[in-house]
Amino acid sequence: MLSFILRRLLIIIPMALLVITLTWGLIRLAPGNFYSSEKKLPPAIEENIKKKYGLDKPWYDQYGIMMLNIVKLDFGESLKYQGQSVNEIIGRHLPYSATIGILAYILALIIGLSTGILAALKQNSIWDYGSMALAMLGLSIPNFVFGPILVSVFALWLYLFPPARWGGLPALVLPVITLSAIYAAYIARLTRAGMLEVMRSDYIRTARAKGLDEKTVLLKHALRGGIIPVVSFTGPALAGLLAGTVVVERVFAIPGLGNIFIQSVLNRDEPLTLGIVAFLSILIMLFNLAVDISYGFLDPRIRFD
Amino acid sequence: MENRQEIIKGTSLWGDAWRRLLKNKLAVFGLIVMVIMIVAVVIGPSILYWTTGFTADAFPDSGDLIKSFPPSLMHPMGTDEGGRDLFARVLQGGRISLMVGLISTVVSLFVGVSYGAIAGYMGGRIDNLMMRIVDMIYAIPYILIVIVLLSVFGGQNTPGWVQFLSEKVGGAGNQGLSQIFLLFFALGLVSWLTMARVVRGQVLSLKHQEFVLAAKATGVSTFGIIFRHLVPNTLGPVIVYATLTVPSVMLTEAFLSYLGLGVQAPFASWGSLAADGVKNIAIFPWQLLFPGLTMALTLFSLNFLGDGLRDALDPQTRKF
Amino acid sequence: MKVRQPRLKAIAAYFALCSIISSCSTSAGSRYFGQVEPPSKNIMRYVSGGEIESLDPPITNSQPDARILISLFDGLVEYHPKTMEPIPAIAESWETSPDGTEYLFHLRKNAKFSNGDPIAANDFVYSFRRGFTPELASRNAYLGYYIKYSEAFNAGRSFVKDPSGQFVLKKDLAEKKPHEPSPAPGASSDGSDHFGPDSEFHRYIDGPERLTVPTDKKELAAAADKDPKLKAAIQGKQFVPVMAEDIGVEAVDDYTLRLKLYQPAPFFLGLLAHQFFRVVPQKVIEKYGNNWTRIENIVTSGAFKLAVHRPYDVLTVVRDPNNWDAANVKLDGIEFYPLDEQTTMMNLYKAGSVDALYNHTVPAAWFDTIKQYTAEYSLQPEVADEFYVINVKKPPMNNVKIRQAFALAIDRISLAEFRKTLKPLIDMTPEGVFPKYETARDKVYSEELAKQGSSLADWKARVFEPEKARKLLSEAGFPVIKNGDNYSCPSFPVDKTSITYNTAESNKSVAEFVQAQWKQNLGITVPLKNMEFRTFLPLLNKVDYDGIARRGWVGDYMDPYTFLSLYYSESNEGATGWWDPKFDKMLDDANKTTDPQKRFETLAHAEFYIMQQQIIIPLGTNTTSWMKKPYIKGFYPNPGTLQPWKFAYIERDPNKWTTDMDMIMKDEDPEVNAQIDRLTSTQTEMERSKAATAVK
Repeated sequence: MLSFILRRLLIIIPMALLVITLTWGLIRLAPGNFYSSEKKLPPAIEENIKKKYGLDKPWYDQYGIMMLNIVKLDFGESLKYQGQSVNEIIGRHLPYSATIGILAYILALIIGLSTGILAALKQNSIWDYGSMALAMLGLSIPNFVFGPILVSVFALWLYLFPPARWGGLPALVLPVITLSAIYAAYIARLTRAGMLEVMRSDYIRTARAKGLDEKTVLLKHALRGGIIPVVSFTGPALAGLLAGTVVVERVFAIPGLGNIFIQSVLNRDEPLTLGIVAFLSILIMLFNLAVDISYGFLDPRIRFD
Repeated sequence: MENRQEIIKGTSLWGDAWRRLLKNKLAVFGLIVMVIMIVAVVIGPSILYWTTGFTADAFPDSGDLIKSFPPSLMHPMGTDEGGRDLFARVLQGGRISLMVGLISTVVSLFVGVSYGAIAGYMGGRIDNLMMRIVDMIYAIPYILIVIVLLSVFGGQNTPGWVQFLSEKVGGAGNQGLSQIFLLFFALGLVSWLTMARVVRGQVLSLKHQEFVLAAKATGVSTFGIIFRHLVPNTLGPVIVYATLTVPSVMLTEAFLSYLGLGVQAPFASWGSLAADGVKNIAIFPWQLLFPGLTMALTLFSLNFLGDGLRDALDPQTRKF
Repeated sequence: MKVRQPRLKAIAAYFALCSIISSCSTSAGSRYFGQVEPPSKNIMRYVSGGEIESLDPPITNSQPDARILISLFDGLVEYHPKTMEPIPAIAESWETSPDGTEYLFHLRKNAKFSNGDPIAANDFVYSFRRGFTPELASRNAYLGYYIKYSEAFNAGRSFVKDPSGQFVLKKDLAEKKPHEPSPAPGASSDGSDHFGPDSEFHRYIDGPERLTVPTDKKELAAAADKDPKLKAAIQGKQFVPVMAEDIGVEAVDDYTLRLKLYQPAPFFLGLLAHQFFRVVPQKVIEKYGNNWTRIENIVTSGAFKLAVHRPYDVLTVVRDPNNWDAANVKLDGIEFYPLDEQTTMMNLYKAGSVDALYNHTVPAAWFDTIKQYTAEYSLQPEVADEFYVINVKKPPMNNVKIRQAFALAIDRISLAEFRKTLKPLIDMTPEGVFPKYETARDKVYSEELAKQGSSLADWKARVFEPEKARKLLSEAGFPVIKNGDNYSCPSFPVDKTSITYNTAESNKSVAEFVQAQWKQNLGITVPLKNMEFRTFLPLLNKVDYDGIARRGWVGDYMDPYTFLSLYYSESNEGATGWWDPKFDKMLDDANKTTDPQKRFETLAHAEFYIMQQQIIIPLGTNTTSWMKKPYIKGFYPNPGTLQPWKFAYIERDPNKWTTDMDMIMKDEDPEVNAQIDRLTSTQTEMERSKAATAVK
């Protein structure tokens, strides 16, 4: 077990470097550059810019210098936001997206798990249909629609919460609800499906046959196996949430990492894109590792080879 | 002899499933809605053009008609800011949206299920390598993949088969559609990853069960074990995931349209119509209401249908 | 009958729903849009656009950044709050040499940086030189290329010196052309025009223009290979790199600054209000290098100084007591919100969380609802327009008749009704912002058109002439066939054309509309191609698009030249592939003309000439389309939405609030007027005394 974790942790480093390389290649393949504007720059100015950022060197030199710096965890300065280092930008904006993301996921877990379990227990009842229809609604409304609807009602009609911008607890309410809706719906459906699957399996029947009371069967045995799909969903979902979600950040004008990441791609801000990709890929791989480890705890049948 | 027996058994299995599906009222509802939706989307635009002359992309001639009108008898869904009939646009948008969802989901089903099942069953180094590749593709921003794909294969470099497909669907002179096909491809490329992980997780927990060991003992080939014994047993979560992939792909498409990488004007998709409509939510709510409702209804039905299919295909459910 | 009842009910319910929806949307609300409550603090909250790229003025070139930098840095001149014409700032007054290539600025003596250091002529010399430093790699440096040798310095070029110490001159190489301009009036044999105090530098910079060549050996060799004359001229010569000290900027004394241009540029003063030319603190920059803009280090020169900067959230500036005009700065501070999501900012505005928005922020679809709030919404013409550029290098668009056909087949009146915020336009320069130029242009056009047997009224009809368009297209070899109510043009190669545009809701709707117009009037369905901005730019700048591409242009200063100069010189930024030396000469001639009205007429000739070529398809003049709360005053919808912040204030007496945004451009706000008069008085005085001496 320990060696499994160690091996996986060690392999994350070369993988992250590989991801960075691939992303770098993709950025270089994409047309356009960070400095162009609607007015064509005189060639002399373009040359000055290239010289300033070392873009006049051959590509393998550029790649080598960049990788050397990245190994030292130095992603350099943003091309668009001059004088700001990539590490500084990530450090500054991560807390915003992380706050919203974690709060939203906690809310989604509470709503999703409880409705999912309820639906599975009372399969084919009005509870089942009702909560699943609600979950469906959550999945069917895009968050760029759901957010503005919440804003129209609670911010512009009832004046209960601010319509946008960061600042204080009230400002968090609408974005967190918007963000959690789709996750809650996912979790509810996954929980229900997983629970139904498990409750049919032999070991639950055995547990029942042994005369364990229904509560123990449910919470100790069925739930453990039934939420495996939720767990495997949680890894990437939480990593994605921490890194920010573009739509909610744009609709509510929250200075999170997601919007900055998209902007960096659209602006061809190479160091910033690479920095966020590196951060995100390591995050995703760590979370996936955590997911794989938790499989072992949740389902004794899974073995680590 | 053995072969014939298998065929008979096979048909009866599907027949059973079909009968069970028909018993599920919600699933039948979903099925009917989907059939109506597909028919409406396929032949609707032509019928509408024949009867009223409205098309998805034609603006009215007169200046005073170029504004957003609320729903009326003539325009049951109202018009957009350019005075174009929203009903026609929703019908046409459905073509794109359903196609995006369908194609990408099929890609994700085929690639994701086989990839995940092989990784899960093989285990060890192979599993490790395959899953690390998935992790890596996860980590590469898909917008970047889409931008590169669209710019490298767009314009003059569009592959022949993409042009052929887009001409067949959109008619001649609609190069704009070829970008949509590239988009389907790009979305398919990124949407199988979750599926692969889910299937692998399922296979991991199944492969030590008795029926697999039994199959192994009786000398069934690895391929046979994976695709005949393991994959059918993962069908429940797979179908649920597939039905979840459709909305997420549609939403991704809408998001990409919003960034300018998605569907090309004058074509629209439900997602892009809703994204446009939401800007005017306070003033022309019908611009959001109708595309949004249509999309929600479709996704609703798809999911009920998915649930029904799962229950129908999984005979164990009956035991419960 | 009974069976049908539920269905009737459903239909009735449906229409009830519809009527509720439409009544909600058209309900005539109160006088104001949303909450109207002046903020408790004397701090204005403004949505400024995207996040600022850099607080270093010469670095950035976007409008949102300019809005913030105007508050933080002062220059020689400032934008007039209503007209955007230059008014005195740190330069109290200025004089122009008779030939129009030299300026003397008299600086005020009480100007200070935010750390209390005085601002003198040397600080401007430093700021200007710094802007052109190749290592700074400013994207705006081209704005100042009118200053003598600044381009050579910025591009890293060298003077050529022969062994005797004489510099090779540009005219030594030039071919003698019949229309060689005569030496500028007032220039004497030693090169100096004796304008302002004499100095060694002045004699050098006023001397004949020296030849400059690339410093880079390879580039030089390549240039020499192309031009045998150049090769001969540089044989055995020394190369002296052009240094910062060589450009045409001189501190004559502590409070007098001299600028020397290559050639007359009557619009140059207006350009000086751009952030590129604003003054930055030398000591701080030399101490901190690239980090000088960090909040703990930054020192500014404007009416406000930096207080808070949380990127993507807020940037707060507060009044700087050290500023020379601090007594007249009315706001205690400004909060800039870096937002670019229209719906979000409209929500914030409606909820009363912001006081004003930047331009083009009210979605076109909201127009019919918002226009009733006349106290808040402004729709003034801007020094900006929208047009389609045509790739004139590739067929079929290399045929001028086809270009004209496409231009004539768009109903611009309907387009304006559809887009609401676009005013119909058939020319290159925007309508309604250069009234004097327009008068001159009408006159010139009438004369020119009379020569062609046409009239000004005919010209104005170009706003929509489908009949003529079809005729032109048929003449060009693509007959338009009429069948019933529809037209078709089967022979036209649609696959070689497209409307390429960068993704934006407004670009999309305009493109869809134009596509529909051409389909309807010419029977040609031009495919639309939208792409993400950075993918689109190389296509545009390299003129690589098929047929037609979308473009908008915002003037850098208040003069029609900022629009016409897009097509000046072979390496022009017009993105059409079109170039004509004749057009260049017309523009040069215009700028050499000192009489403003005559100059406008020459420019109008140039515009007429280029419009005959129809290298662009004008679509419309942009309008401001932004909102401000009625209690914000001294803040005007000027043509570039670049407002000097020191005039703005919060009016707490509702009786004095703005009632009509259209009127405030004419309305007299005594307080603001007094402020402007006080500022401009020094310059008026200077001009008056000059005129008096001239009479003597």
